[in-house]
Amino acid sequence: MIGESVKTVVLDKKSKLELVEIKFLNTTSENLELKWTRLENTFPKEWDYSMCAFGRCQVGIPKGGALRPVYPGKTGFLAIHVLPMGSKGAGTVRFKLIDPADERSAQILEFRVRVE
Amino acid sequence: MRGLIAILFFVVFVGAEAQTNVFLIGRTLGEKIIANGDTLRVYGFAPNLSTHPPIPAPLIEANQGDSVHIDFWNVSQLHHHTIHLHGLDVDQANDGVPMLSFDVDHMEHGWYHFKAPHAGTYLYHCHVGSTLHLQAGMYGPVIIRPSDGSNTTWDGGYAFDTETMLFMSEFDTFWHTDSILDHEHDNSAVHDSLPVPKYNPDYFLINGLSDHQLEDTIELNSKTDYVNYFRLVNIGYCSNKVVFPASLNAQVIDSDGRPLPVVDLTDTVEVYPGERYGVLVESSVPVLDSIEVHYFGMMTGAAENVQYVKVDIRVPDQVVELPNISGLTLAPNPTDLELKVAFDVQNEVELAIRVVGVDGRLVLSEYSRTFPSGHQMVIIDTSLLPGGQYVISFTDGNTVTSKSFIKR
Repeated sequence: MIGESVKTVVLDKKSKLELVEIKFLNTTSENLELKWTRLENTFPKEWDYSMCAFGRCQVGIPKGGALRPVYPGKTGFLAIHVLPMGSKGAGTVRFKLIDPADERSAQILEFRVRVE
Repeated sequence: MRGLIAILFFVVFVGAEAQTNVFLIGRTLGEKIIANGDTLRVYGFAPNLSTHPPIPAPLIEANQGDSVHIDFWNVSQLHHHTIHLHGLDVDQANDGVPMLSFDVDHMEHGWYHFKAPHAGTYLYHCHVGSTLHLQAGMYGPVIIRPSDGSNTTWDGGYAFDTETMLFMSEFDTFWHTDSILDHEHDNSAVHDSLPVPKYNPDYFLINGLSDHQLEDTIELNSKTDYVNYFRLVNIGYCSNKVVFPASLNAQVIDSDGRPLPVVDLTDTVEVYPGERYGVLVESSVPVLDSIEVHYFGMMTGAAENVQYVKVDIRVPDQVVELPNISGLTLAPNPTDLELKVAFDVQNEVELAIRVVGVDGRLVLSEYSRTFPSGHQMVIIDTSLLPGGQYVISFTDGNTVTSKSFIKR
């Protein structure tokens, strides 16, 4: 993981959170073929949001999916985009990032957003 | 003082020009349900982050002379896109042809500005790897209305009562697989051309739907003597032949956003990829028929498919409220064997009920009786009536009201 695996963002209800990402580095000599699952999503229903998982930008935040292969020495990421649509509130989205070849190494990534 | 006058004039000038703002998001992991129930991967332009991009993309609509501003946000990593404003005569910087203006990378915004030109029907689509990105779903309609926004074809043009867009395209489902759609973008290429497979479309679309999906969704429901305006658009790779029933008296009045110098009185309109036509149809008698939309291969000329758009033109109901009657309903409508006529009577009333053809000829004998107050139901045997439209009328001796129904 590059930096924290929990990202907290506070923004004004009139602004947009176009991108916040949690990055990780492939320190192995092999391609990393990772999957992710959504563990929690408490974003208010008034917000408009979606997520990108390295190379695959989803519509909304579905239950899970796969990333494009991360080559050795390269950086991958999970990211979210939030348009508050003028609505105050707070919510958290948590993901589990899994290497199917080594499930014990799974990581939890968390995005906390508060709109004021 | 002179400076103040200049500022005031400037404010008045800017304030007088209407502005239309459009927000679109570029997507490459959209989903679209096709006629066989399968979900197809599509690219597209979405109005927000949490809904799949519709096919066709959202309508861009403005009045002639409006200042239109499009904020295009690309949220599709690994893919560049643009918005090409097809036929709108915008300047080169806003044309959306990547090698002549700019393309929009992932997480970038592209801004397009133009003044809405002559009222008419236009298109927008992605112009990066156009052959693939278009087929993938990145296309939508643009309607420029007259300066006053009225239901006329253009300033000083034809007035119309209803408006229907038939936006033709196709899907080749093989092109909608990850191996084709997850293509690499070549930033160094002057013209981003992508290798694409042979085109074998298997779904033939009108407004993104085909076959049974068209039933009860894309159709003309209108009244006799109404003027109905069709906007025909082809953004597929087949040519189309749109055949209107002769009873609709079709007139082709405009093409590609401009009036035709001479109105073409024809029931058959050929629409090639990228073209748009405006057609007025009108009938003085009821019509229950279909418009045929034929698809032909551009390379072979071979007939590929036909889709049908239902036309249901009826005599308008005479909506005069009888003083003692409310809540009049006819069911089922259309009907087969019998028609249930339900209504509420406020005070006891004598009513005569007649069923006539749309030409006014009595087809079922008059039924007259006194109805007490309360909810009433009359069942009319329609089993012997030939198929067609009929009118059921009620009179209390002073006032007449009528409602139409269809016998299948």
